[in-house]
Amino acid sequence: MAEPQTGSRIGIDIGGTFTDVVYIRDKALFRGKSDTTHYDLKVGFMNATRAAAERAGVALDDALREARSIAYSTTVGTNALIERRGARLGLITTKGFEHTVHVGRARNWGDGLPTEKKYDRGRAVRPAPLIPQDRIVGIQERIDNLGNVIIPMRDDDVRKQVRYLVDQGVRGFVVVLLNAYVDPAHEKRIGEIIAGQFPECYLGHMPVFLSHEISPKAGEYRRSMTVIIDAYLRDLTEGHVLRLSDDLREIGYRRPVFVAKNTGGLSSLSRSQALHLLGSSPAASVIGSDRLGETIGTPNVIVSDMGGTSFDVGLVVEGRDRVYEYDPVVDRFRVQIPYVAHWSVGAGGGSVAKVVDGELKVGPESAGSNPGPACYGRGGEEPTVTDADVVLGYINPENFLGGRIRIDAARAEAAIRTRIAEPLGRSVTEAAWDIKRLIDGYMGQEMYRICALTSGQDPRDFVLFALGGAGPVHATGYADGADVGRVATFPVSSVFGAFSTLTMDVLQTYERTLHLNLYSHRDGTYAADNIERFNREVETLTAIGERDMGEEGFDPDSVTIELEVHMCYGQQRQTLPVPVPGLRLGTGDDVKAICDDFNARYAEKYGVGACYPEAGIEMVEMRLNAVGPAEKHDFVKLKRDRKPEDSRIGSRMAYWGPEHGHIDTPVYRRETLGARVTLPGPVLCEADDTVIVAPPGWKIRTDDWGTGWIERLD
Amino acid sequence: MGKLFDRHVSLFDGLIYDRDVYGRRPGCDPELICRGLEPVTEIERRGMALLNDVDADILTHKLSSIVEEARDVYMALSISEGIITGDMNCGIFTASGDPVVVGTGIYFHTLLNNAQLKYILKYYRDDPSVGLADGDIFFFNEELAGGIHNLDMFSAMPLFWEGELIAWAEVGGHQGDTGSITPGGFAPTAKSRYEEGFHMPAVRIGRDFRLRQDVLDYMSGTVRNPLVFAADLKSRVATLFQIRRRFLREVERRGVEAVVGGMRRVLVRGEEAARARLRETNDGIFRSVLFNDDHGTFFGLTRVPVVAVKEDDRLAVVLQGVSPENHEGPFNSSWHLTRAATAVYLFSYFFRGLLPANAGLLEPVSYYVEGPSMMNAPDELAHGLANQTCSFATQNMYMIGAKMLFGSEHREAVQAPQSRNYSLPIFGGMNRRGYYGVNFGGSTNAGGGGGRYDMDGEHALGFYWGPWTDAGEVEEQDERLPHLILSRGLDKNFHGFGKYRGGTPLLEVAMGCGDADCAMSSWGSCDKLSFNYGLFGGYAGPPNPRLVIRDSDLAERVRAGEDVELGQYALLAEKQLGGDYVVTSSSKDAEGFGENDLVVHSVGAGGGYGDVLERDPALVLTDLADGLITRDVAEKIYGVALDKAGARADESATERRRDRIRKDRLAKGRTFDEFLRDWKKKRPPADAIEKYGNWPEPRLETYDEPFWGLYRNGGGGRG
Repeated sequence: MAEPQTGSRIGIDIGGTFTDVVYIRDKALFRGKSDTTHYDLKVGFMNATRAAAERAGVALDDALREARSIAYSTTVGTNALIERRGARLGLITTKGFEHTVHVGRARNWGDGLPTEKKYDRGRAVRPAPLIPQDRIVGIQERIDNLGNVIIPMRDDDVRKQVRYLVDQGVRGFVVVLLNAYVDPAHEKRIGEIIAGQFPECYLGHMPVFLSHEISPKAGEYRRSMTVIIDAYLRDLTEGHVLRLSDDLREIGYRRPVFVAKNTGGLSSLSRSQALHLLGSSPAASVIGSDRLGETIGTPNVIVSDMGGTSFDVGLVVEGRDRVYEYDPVVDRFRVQIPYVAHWSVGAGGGSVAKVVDGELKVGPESAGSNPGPACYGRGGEEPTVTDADVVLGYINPENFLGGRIRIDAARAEAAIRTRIAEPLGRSVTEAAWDIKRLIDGYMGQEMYRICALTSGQDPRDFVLFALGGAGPVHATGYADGADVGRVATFPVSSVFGAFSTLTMDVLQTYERTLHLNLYSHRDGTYAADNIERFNREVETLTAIGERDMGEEGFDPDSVTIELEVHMCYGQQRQTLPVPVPGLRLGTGDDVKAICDDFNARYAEKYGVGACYPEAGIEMVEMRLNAVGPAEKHDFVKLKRDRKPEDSRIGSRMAYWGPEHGHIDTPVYRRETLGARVTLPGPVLCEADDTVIVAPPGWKIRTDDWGTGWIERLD
Repeated sequence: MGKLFDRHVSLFDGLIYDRDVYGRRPGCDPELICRGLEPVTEIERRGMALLNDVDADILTHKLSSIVEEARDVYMALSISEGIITGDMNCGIFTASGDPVVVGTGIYFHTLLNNAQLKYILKYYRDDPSVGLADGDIFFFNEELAGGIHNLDMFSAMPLFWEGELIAWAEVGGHQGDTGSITPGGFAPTAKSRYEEGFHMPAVRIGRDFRLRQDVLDYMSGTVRNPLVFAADLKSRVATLFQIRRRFLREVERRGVEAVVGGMRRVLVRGEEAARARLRETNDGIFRSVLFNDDHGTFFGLTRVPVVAVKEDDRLAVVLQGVSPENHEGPFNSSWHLTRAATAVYLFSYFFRGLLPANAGLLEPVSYYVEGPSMMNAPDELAHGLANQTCSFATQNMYMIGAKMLFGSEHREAVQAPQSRNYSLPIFGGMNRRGYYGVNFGGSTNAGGGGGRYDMDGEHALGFYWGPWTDAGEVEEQDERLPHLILSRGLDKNFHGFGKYRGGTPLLEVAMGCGDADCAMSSWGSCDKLSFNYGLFGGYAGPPNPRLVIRDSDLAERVRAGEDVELGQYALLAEKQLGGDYVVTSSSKDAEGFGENDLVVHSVGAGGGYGDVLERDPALVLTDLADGLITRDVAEKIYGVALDKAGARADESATERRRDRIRKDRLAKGRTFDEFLRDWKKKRPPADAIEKYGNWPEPRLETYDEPFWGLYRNGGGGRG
């Protein structure tokens, strides 16, 4: 039997189309890819792992037995959420607020939609609910924001409403009462009553999800959705991961299966929430980019992943401050989790081009992978971005996705001619060029907006990581739109999500809303009387963090505790995170120090003139991270042992815009390029899963780590 | 205009139709306000020639991204409830002051306040005592100079490139107080503008990119919440800087001519697209009339009819036969505001999809707003509720637009009006965190949508004036407002019935807090008559008066362990609580509110679409199960035969019942001539039409003198 190997680790990413695996063994990295098997995700998992193991010359069983860890990112919850296949739940809330979830701040009809849809209120339609209105009940009670009981709660009222929900056939209860994050007494009492009625020791036990336990934060709609989505997906997610763990155990894998979380870390199943698994793959890619950026010396990264139907964007700022969203939209619902920010834009190789009112439009509709672009020959008639890439000569019809899909260039040309070129009175090539420019422009703008909006950063200070099959093809186009000057591509680009799971640490995050005045608007003093409360809360969270990391198998000394507080002026809704490195406040000077830090950060982001401490400074939220370090892959430098000419595989005509026209463009093989090679543009560099496209005025350069840089010649 | 207009529209001599009725005043030039797009400049012409369609499209997207970002920044940094929930706007304007792209919030502002920029250019730029330079920051909230009402406060910054003015950035939104006689700014008892707090036409409040502290201190000192005022002003300025930074970077990258030309192209293409949309609808004359039932703090009727004449690619909007201006309260609109109000409908529905919203879209539309009248009122009067008054024109435009679009390929935009049946409380007082707060709550952004030609109207759709806003969360409002919300949800029988029903608003029940020194004023109208018409046979959204329950026994009842329903239906129809029920005009001056005093309010429900007897019985059952209608409504209005439990419908019994209702209708039917004959004999009680003007036509057909002289003297006939 194989023994666990030092450094032998498996990272898995189950995506909507493909299941990717990265297998690290003896410091070497092997890729595996398989179709995602939606009927049973485990089959695709095993197929991809087998493919990677075989590349390493190891049998699947041996690879699993000897692995020290498996890190896993899955879309199982995402698909269940889209298809509304979760648990049958009942919601118990404060009477008078039974429509909170449906109405969703009156904005949830637009949450998660592109801007043009948000402006189309005449056609507004709310998302299908996870809990229909007839399974939502109100309990007469009310606690205010200071914890005062305004309306007391009655047990008989609770029992009556619980009985009603049971009659509706619910299989679990979500409880969200107003201001339970301040005083959870009423929620706890409801939990006790239900537990009394449906004790764990009997069949038919009903799980109860109390909001103050899952998300002790202000905002009843977001808290409700946080708890509801988590509860809705819990059984399904848990069942899936447990089955997988059992199967792995049968084969001989005895160590924990870690799951990747959208909060930016890993955890074992017993320390994970179902909600945290949604969108974990793009979140992992941000973390992986952070790690890779550290290796190749690029602390500021815009992560872009252009696939067939979507374009995902994330940010790494200064190699440490990952950009988080604190109330992200999941599916169409706003929730409260510290979500490693990534945004999905409806643009990809499958984006459909059409002429509307005499103007060319590209997307957001997508031909998807089936029927896919016209050139796939699967019945798609509409021209897409991929068809344009074929017409322009960037994609090799004979070697698209390593030959897995056969490209019919004539169909691409016909689709663009009849539907775009002729209506606009353009040549086919010009029309294809316009399609490319338009989609590149849109993606670039979105990246620009995301970079600027979320972090206030200057995109010129960033390097663009081009991931996904279409990323390196279009990277220079959208980099230009985003005002980014350098692009990096990687050999692991096509399995980046799987690779990234192996770059994550074990992470638990604890948050709570805590309103503390730090600087008084009345008398201009720093509020030292809140110090004790502050320290008490930090100690409580720290103890929980240390306990949980102990359960994950970490020695307390190896665990890092990080604390940040969210602060604002007066009663702003916007807050800024401010780290508290010492984890404690001692005197008023410490309070002043974090206020000064807040003022400085605010000034940096919005300008000195925008600062306004005279309105008072408040702390509204506390977040504590407990981090357990995971083993990392050390990259090995490539040798400078190859000549570029050895990698040249020919040339073909490609179109580079009206300024340059068609040029017979050299074509190279990506996999065989060595370190420190420079190829001046225009040039095409083909890999199994993509083509790196460098137009005139750009060059492709490889570094010691195998990074394929696309840079301007000047 | 064209033949239809010339044949059917007759404007009164001596009245003003094509501009604000008042003349030049300090900081205000009506000639600038009623101008359309400024002429194309040479640099714009050169720039447009540089851009192909793709480049121009990408640039438009970039400019839109810049103002979208600005929108988020402005909302994030502000404190005023109105701004953070979306009653705001950020825009980029041409150098000559025409709006090109907006990030909103609220469409209203898009077409307003640009006159202030034009005023600066015309009167101040070359005036050595003022001038115009890079780094200048201007402020304005003067409704007479092109704004809405003085609660909407704006800041603007000229954008220079290499010494040349190339554009403007403008950011503004609804502040909580103006220093008016009523906390919260809306002063329902104000009879003149001098009771409504401070008004400032364009004033330079900063130079060299810095706010002047002395000016800031002065302005903050004029309102009741100086900290909030100053914080919000700073947030506006920070947002202007953000727009400037992004915009100039784009100029740096693309060249000044391309950007300036691209901005003009947005306007040109906007106009072309609007004309194309108009050509796709039938020519004709379309009419709608609305009756308002409130003068500020007391009931009474006024009338606002709208006629739209559509010919080829042009549209004329005519408001004629409008009731007189209001001397007893702030229900007065202006020419420019009436125009902008109808544009809110046009941008969201009629011109659906023609983004970005910009001034070019309105170029094919001409406006004739009779004045002096309540829709085009003199300057000295109070205009604080101009936002309610001008919406009378908007509601009419929903009806007119639906008729115009129904026969076109754009039927998807046909729907009954979004609710404007406002009853909106303004709270003021110390909140539970010790901050002085004064504003309305987030439920303002949760009015019901109108029934649509193919589906129900959305519940709690959003703010009336804007496409996508935020009603916030009650836990946050607990932190910010001086009162406590006890219930916020969708209520029973509170929407317009129809084949496709209207949407229900968020209805809020709140109580004062004794310790918090809570005061409340309120504003609105449609207390007895609905503004939210049903469309093509649908029922109107119900009227929405102000309901207050003084000295309620809520506390006693809940302490005694009783279940209490806190909905409007439960309180009004079933009187579940004891106390003094006060149903009044929506507009009230400030009053104290204690712990046992409840206020019940919403911004109203959307009208229904189509005949109720055509509603799918399955949808009626769903409404019943969701608590949106009572059994009575299901059976008597919708004609659905239910089983005992109300869970199933009997198909054939339903058909029989609906047939019977149809026969009853026919039996009651009369010819139009018969109806007209009887209708003309009717006349409302004298006190209801005291401010109406002449009955039935507010202005005598032979009349050719302004109202001012006619009605001030209490006359009812020709002066």
